[in-house]
Amino acid sequence: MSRPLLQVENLRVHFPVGGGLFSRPRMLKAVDDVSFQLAPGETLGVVGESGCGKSSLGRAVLQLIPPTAGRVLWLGEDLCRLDDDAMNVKRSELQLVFQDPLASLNPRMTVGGILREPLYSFEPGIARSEAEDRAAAMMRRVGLRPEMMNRYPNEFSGGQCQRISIARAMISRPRLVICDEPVSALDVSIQAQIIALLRELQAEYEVSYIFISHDLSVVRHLCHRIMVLYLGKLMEIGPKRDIFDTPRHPYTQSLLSAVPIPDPRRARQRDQKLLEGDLPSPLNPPSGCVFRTRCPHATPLCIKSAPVLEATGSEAHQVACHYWQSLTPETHTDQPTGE
Amino acid sequence: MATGSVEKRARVAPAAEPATVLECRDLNVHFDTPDGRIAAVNGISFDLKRGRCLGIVGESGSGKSQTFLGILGLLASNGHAVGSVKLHGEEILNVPRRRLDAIRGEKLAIVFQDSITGLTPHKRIGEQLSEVLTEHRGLGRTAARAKVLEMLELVRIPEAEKRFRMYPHEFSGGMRQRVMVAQALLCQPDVLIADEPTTALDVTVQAQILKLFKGLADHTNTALVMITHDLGVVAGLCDEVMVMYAGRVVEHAAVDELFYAPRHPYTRGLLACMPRADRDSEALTAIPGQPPDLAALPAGCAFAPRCPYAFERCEAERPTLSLAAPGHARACHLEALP
Ligand SMILES: Nc1ncnc2c1ncn2[C@@H]1O[C@H](COP(=O)(O)OP(=O)(O)OP(=O)(O)O)[C@@H](O)[C@H]1O
Ligand SMILES: Nc1ncnc2c1ncn2[C@@H]1O[C@H](COP(=O)(O)OP(=O)(O)O)[C@@H](O)[C@H]1O
Ligand code: SF4
Ligand code: SF4
Ligand SMILES: [Mg+2]
Ligand SMILES: [Mg+2]
Repeated sequence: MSRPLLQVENLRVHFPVGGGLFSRPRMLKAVDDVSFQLAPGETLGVVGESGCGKSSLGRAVLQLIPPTAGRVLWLGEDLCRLDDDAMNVKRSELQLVFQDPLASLNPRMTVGGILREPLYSFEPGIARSEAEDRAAAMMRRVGLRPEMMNRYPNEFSGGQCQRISIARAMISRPRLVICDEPVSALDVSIQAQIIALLRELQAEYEVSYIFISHDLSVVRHLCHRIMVLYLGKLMEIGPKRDIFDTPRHPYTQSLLSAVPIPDPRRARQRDQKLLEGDLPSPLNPPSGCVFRTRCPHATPLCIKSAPVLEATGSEAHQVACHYWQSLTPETHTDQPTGE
Repeated sequence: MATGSVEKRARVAPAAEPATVLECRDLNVHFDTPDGRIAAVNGISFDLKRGRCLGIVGESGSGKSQTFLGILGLLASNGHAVGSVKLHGEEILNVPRRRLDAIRGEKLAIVFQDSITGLTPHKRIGEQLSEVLTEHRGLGRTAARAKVLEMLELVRIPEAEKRFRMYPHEFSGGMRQRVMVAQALLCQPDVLIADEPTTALDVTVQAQILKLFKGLADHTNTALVMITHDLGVVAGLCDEVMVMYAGRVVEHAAVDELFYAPRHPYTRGLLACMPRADRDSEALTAIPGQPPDLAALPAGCAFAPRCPYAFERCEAERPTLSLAAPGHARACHLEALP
């Protein structure tokens, strides 16, 4: 792997919740001791159930919420230690695309204004005509007609708004874009268009993505590596191939088992290992291994002690489970049928 | 993989066709708006059979929900349903409200995507569910309570006794959805309509709920309608699928036929643009363009602006649904897909 663009070390995001006059607030550990690296041009998928800390992780990396502890090294420099002005300069390199395309665009600005804004703030002194030309070029690049420059966001469909968001994120030529469920709100046929656009832009600009999604099908298609979170903790991380072909963590295995497969024969043959029960409250996570209340393999050891992340042979594939070595990984890749 | 051939083993043509429970013929739903009339559902016909599951697939706005809201008499005030819908031979489309309410409680039930809207926020779960039985079935309180507990256990609500006395907001999204399913099943309806019941849920919870539906379809006589935008959901659950586009059915076939031998360009396009969790896919073939605006539909085939095979006739003349093979209908001017 080339020199990492981003190194996240022992990141924690804890939110104080509740508390009143006489009681101290409790700490909700949205992200708890998460470490990972990202190489230039790489896409890292972040998956897990609702509330497991995906968005909090993304926002903490971008310093949109202050991390409680840990380091976020951007080309070796700790972003957590930068003051607001210095961080704002860095933002041209680190951008964000949200799930809800319309809500993330200023309704009172024209599309042209939305696209020119980052240029004016990151390249003060840029000539208006140049900003306009670049905005028009970017619109064309994401598949929108530049003639629509003077329209407002509410005049666009969901898919078009997501194209505008992507254009806004890309126009400052960032090296990292964090995509937080960028296609989840879109229709199936539009999802594929946006996924294709993200892939093309990556090839063209060598941008890295952190791709947050609950959809493992999309993640498999788009990501090079995948990270699985549960109640704020890293359960497993590794190259896509390892995660889908030899998933080691019981949680990863049940997540994969739960994904619907659009293939009736496969769906009928499949022996799904479904999770029982619901997510525990993040305010009161289980002791030891946080997954133990839903884990089919839990033992008394799992109640007492929290597993640490271990390499599984390949250094890049790491898992946090006491028993990963004795569990059989089941492939989630369809066996070749000799097409 | 041998695509064209349809596997005979599974669920295809059992010895005797189960009895038809609900018969929908030429259903149309339109809305009157200040800007004119919107034809949301056009000429839909289908039969629901005992113990079978029909999937309704389509993008947002394609008319999936309005079709069934029309059938159930639940359209917005500017909406009108025309056509014929027979439940056990009795016409139920546009019958007086009182009759519909009775049918809805007993014979037809619906579960919506947003489980909050289906439950009354300030009433304990147990109370809400028991009422269904005391009102529709005339059960006493004790009997109703026992039945409700049985249902909550069936949908795998842990510690049902304790949960009986809790309020909806004290449940997780997945649990609320299961409560909704329990409520819908209380009167053992002949038809259960599920409108995107898992769209807002995590995959793990979605899988639990789909398993519940699967058990229902396999072990009871309830006819199930699964409305969804996700072909993955349909594949594992349904016997038959209708694909909707712009307020019309564009393809209707047995589930294996639809997936392995699609005969409409839109269905084929949907299948080709979905990434899959069980295999690597280098490039997805996206369907270009956007779903049409119902207020400004083209004169011919509504899919023509996005269809890779469109030819002159498509722009001039709207294709109608016709059989391309036994039990396999599609609305397209092409004889066969290239
Ligand atoms: N400002 C906040 N104050 C208190 N708790 C918060 C705050 N923001 C997030 N949380 C909590 O932190 C946890 C992680 O939230 P986060 O939004 O990161 O989850 P997520 O994985 O992105 O979920 P989803 O898939 O639903 O978007 C949740 O329990 C959430 O309720
Ligand atoms: N009250 C209404 N007035 C006008 N149009 C409506 C009304 N309700 C629904 N529609 C339109 O009917 C069409 C079909 O809607 P629906 O069946 O809800 O779609 P879906 O397939 O997403 O369930 C949509 O274009 C929608 O905008
Ligand atoms: S440590 Fe124990 S509870 Fe946690 S995943 Fe492994 S077996 Fe399950
Ligand atoms: S009728 Fe024409 S435009 Fe419509 S789906 Fe068939 S080939 Fe395509
Ligand atoms: Mg989130
Ligand atoms: Mg709907």
